Amino acid sequence: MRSYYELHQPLSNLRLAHFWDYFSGDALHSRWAEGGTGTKAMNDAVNGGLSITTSSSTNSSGFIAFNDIRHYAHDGSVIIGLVQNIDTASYWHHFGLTEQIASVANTRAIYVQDSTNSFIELNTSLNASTTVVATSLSLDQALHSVKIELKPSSCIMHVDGALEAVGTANLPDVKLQPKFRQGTRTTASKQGNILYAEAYNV
Amino acid sequence: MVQQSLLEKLNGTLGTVAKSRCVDNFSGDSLDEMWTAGGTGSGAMNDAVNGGYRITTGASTNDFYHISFNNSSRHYSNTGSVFVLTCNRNTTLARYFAGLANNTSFTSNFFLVDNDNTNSFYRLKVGASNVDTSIAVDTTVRTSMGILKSASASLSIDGSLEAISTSNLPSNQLQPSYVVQTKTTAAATGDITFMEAYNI
Repeated sequence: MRSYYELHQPLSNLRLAHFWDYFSGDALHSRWAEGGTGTKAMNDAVNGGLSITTSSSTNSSGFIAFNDIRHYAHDGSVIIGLVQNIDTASYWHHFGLTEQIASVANTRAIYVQDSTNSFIELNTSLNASTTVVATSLSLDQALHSVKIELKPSSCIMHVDGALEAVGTANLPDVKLQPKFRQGTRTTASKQGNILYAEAYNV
Repeated sequence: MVQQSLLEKLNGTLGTVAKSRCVDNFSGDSLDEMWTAGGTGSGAMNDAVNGGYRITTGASTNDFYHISFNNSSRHYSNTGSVFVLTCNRNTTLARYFAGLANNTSFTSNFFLVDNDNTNSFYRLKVGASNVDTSIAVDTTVRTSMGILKSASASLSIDGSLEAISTSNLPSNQLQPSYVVQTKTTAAATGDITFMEAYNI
């Protein structure tokens, strides 16, 4: 019988910060802190995961994050997620690593679907200065796997296993936490789902 | 490709009945509910890269603070179990000990790695028995693996076998534990970033 530790590395290699969450069960795991407005609820559907449903106030959003407990390195970390935007208009949908939960525009590296754009994007931000790299993927309502890798001089994003974006400017320079967020641009609520999240330092 | 279950990756086959196991990466904004914290001091998730969970002891000599399963969920066998943990103490004049213990009085019936500044080396502690390793005590983050069988206990640190004991082996069921203790009149801290325990 093997140890879980040794599934990922030999005992001679020091294990760095690493978590995963399958968003399964009857409640969101206590590692997550909820924020913003709207509801966050386990989704009673096959492969349902967790749903964030915003309130009906224009520009409101809801999110889950680690309440500013930031274990992930800006220059050597990976975040992976299975995420799905549900709506077709007037929304934004973010997943990735961020510095703060308190501010909308802050240091972060995130996957973005935003109805004001045409394509899925990688956004890297440093103190609210943002570099946007558009992917080849149109906005949609499909479930996507997202992998964002932060390295010392670049940020690389794969979507559904394909390299889609590389950012080299406005890279984060501080410790980070996972965050998933759904927002609405109108007086109608919008929904996003998350089925899996994993992050680790390298 | 058919997705393989985690259970099969760990056990090799579903034909082998799996036994108790716990795994904690100490990530997120709060300590997992599986743990109960106690003693003199406090604990909190540590907002730092690879921060894990930080214990801060009280400020009286020998004050200690711990996390365990509250003496109420002792799932791990005294004749066949394993612990794997990644932790340290940040304070020089301090101690941590961690592994599997029957109760949080830590007076007997335990199987632990011990990093105590009053000793020269990391130790395997099995009840009243102490076996020195070759590693000088320090504040370095290290990975320890303890394997307890019916007639022996062994300790590996950072992948190297360091100590074996065959006496004073635990006689009762066990729970994972991590303890930080101060050796002066100042608070001490220690961080734990991974803990796993399972029966074999």
